[in-house]
Amino acid sequence: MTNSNSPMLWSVLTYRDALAAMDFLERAFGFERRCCYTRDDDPSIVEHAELRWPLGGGVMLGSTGKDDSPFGTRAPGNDSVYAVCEDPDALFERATAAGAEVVRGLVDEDYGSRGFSVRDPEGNLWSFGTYRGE
Amino acid sequence: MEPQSDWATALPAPALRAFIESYRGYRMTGFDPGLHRGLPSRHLTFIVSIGPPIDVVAHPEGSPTRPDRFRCVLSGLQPSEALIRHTGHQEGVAIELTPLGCRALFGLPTAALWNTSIELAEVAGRAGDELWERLQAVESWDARFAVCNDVLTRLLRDDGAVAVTVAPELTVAWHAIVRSGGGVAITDLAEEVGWSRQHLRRRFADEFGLSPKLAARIVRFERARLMLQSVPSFVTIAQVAAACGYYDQAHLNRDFAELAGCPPRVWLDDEVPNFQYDDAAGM
Repeated sequence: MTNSNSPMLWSVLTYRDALAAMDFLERAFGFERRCCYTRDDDPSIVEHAELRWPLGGGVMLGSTGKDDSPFGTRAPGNDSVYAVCEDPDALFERATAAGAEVVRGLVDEDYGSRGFSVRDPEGNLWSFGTYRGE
Repeated sequence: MEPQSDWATALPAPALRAFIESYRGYRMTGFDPGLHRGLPSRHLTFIVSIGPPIDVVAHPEGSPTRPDRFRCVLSGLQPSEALIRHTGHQEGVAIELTPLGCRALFGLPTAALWNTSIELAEVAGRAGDELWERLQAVESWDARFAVCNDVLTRLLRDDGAVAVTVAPELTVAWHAIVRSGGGVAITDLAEEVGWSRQHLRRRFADEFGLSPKLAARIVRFERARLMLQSVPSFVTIAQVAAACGYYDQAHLNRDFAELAGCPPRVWLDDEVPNFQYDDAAGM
């Protein structure tokens, strides 16, 4: 185990209820929690957390309102993330079973990608597909 | 030469896991010569050098140990920073020995090494030399960790001549301090183990070399230090302080001044570019 396989690009999200969001991202999409630092005197506030996407990459997240910085004062629910997946049908089933709101159902694009888009409980858009980028 | 660093970590053999949390191999080449701060930790310092020896130019305040070079350094817990001079090339294996393992491996309470550094062979005899010699001779991290397993497993004592286990009350107390990230109240700790505060404090110091309160402070400090080095820079020091149970950032800064001898930002600037664990965030 060395430090050579770290993702070089991360999305950074903000949530009102960051702990619930982490549970959702794990349950609905299969993200894997790597760390979660909560405030010592108020464990409902996440100062910083990291979740890895099994195929590579990941997201960082924290609680909105955690401080007065530009990071702490961002309005939650406005982000959009795309992740590559290998089995969109199985993931769609998993995500909707976990309560993800369907924005765009499973569809085959004419460029050969198959995927879907859903909304997480705080309004962020999550798209998954087999398309890996140009 | 372009600076390069290479890290590897592994769990020790099952027989050692109660005493050693992990092995951490490090190899850094092409860096500028400088000073590395060896900081107070929940582990004893137990480092086997590969190549150049470990050149300790200043021990923590109050240490009876004089500046020296070590092939394989073993130190008890410590109250502040040591300074290690390096040429820009550092290579070795750090063995994360907990205070619960000092008796099992060396027949000594951790307190016997409080704020003191020795060459491993002083307590491990021939095995101390063997560990160093065999580590010089193999290249891969897997082979190096296997050498550690082999030598350290043979050191495990079972002769009954000395107490090789820490008293259960002290084992419970140590685990509670570590598990709470240093946040446990000493009164609660005394209650949990069924001793008076005074008795706990005395027995704890006899075993580990320091008070439960200082141990908790060191555990909290180490947690903050590991968090600082493993979160992105947009996570502020104030956030780290809040996550680790400090009243505020000033409180964290004071602990850094006393335990590390410098402010957190200075430590980060000095150490972190050549000091990044992939999995430090898992703590």
